[in-house]
Amino acid sequence: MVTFARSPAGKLFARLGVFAAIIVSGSVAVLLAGQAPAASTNGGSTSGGSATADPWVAKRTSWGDPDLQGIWTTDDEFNVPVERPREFGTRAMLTEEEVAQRAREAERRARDDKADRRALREDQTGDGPEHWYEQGKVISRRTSLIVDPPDGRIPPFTPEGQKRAKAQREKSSLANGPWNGPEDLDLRDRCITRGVPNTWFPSAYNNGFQIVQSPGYVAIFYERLHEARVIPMDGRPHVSSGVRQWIGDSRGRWEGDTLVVEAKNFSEKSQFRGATENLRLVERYTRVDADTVKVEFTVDDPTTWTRPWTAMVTGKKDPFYWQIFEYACHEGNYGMFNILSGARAQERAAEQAARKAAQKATQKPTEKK
Amino acid sequence: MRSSVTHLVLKSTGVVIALVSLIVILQARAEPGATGQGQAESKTNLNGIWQAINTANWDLQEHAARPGPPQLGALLAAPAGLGVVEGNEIPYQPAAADKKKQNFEKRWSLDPEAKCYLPGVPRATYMPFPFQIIQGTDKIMIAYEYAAAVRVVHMDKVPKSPVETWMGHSVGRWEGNTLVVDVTSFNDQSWFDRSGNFHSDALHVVERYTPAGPNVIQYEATIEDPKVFTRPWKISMPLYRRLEKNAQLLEFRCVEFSEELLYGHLRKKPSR
Repeated sequence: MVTFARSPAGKLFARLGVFAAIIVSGSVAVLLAGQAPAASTNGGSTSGGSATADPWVAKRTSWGDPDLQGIWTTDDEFNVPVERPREFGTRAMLTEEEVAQRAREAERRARDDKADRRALREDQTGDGPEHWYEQGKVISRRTSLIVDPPDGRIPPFTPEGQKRAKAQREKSSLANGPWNGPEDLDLRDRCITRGVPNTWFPSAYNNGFQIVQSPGYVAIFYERLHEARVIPMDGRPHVSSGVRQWIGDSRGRWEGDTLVVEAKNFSEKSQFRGATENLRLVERYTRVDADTVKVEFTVDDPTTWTRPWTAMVTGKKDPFYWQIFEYACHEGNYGMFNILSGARAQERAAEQAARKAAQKATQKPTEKK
Repeated sequence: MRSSVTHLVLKSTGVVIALVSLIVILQARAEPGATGQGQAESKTNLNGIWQAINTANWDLQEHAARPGPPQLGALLAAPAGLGVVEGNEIPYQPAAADKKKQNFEKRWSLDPEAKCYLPGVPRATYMPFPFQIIQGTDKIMIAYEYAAAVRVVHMDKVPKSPVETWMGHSVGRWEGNTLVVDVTSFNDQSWFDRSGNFHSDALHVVERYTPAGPNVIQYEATIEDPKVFTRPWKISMPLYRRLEKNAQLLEFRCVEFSEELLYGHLRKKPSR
């Protein structure tokens, strides 16, 4: 059950406790016995590319569209940095030795070793032990998620873009406050949206997304924040620029076997690394083989960056990831409650201390007598 | 003597019935996976954007118009309705009937809709918002405009849901041209309407979506919850296709609209 422990479902249930794990391992047994898993991504391979010789023949839906349906996860790219560390220059892939190093690091984090757990500092709201995180099953060789510019790094900000990105970073549970109200936390803390293209970047958990197609529509359902985009494919125009949305307004088309989606009409309240409502996003989804869909997305906002840039993530099938789990974030947002009530408690404590100090200061002259 | 023979016959009949129903249940369970892929694909086409046009979200049962929170004037007053419950009665157990009354009295703050929580099933269907059915190859996705709620109906064989959820675990099958969805694994948090009708984590809903013309689905939901009700009960209503040429789901991400209600008391007070 090594693979189970390292699977997304396994991780999820490690969080939910042993009882749930027993239930799910039962279900997994049923799954293994009852049906051949669609794919197996485990095995010793540490390579990012597929070594199979069979040419992939693109599957089609019964109504003739390229078939991208299924549950995909970007877990395997959790260990790939968004931006390429400068020492790699324009090199897109790690050497064997570097891959082995990345694998050892992932292995260490996947262990439930108390010594590896992050210590909780007094000024932090805390974070789970590292073994909670989805480390993926296959160690990616990629040096960055960004594929263009060729150095794998986000191009320079415009001065305003830089200011906005900094301001955004400062309003987060990971920043230093002040937390006067919910608006001082970011959209993730508030359980409003992960948003696109943010949600494409693999994070600690819940990296799954499900594609369901019907004639004229492609729907993409992201596990994080239970966000669904139902994308019209019939060539209709975007909604008027007066209708702004957290995740924009998306329109799709087929270019050969590639799904191309353009999104615009983002809200000025959307948050993506300092981008504004002028953000234009173009995504290209290409199924590479039975178990792999590549999602390449280009981000263009001249008011924020000096040139467009492109990242790519790889969605893999995982037989253990048989459903998108319900991410009822807002419904259980104790974090918001605790951060705000903690901030108020600190203020009260500070006020009390100030009052005491003031009392002492006024008492001192009389004490001297 | 005669009575004991009758007893024996009755008893063995009971055993046979139990066995037969067990076999039926097992077969029914095996069915979805048995024929493999393509279960969502049917000649019946439920694709589209749909919406209920009734007042079930205010109150499932028949009701006269009634006021909303007084400070908002007539804005949030509830429109009258003839009800969607078969026979109009919701068969609460006595303690549950009391709880429903309390819920009703405190509905402005207790209704999960006020907090922008996920709506659950069947409430998601008759919220005053559109929803879209995307009938894929072996899954049917239902995306709701309200609160960005989403469900995936498994038309293929899947394991049991390992956890309880707001939106339940949906397994579907076709009965003729009716999509039948069996929904289980609920938590006890959602309500059926703004009037405090509620359920426990033992809720089991069976939904039936039957086309009734090109632009209408006849919707039925049988609601069973042995912890709250004395017997199963049923709601039904038509769902109408949104015919606007440019119809599409828009965002109703109400989390930010609920923050004042949920966290307002934790805001920093303006200093003196």
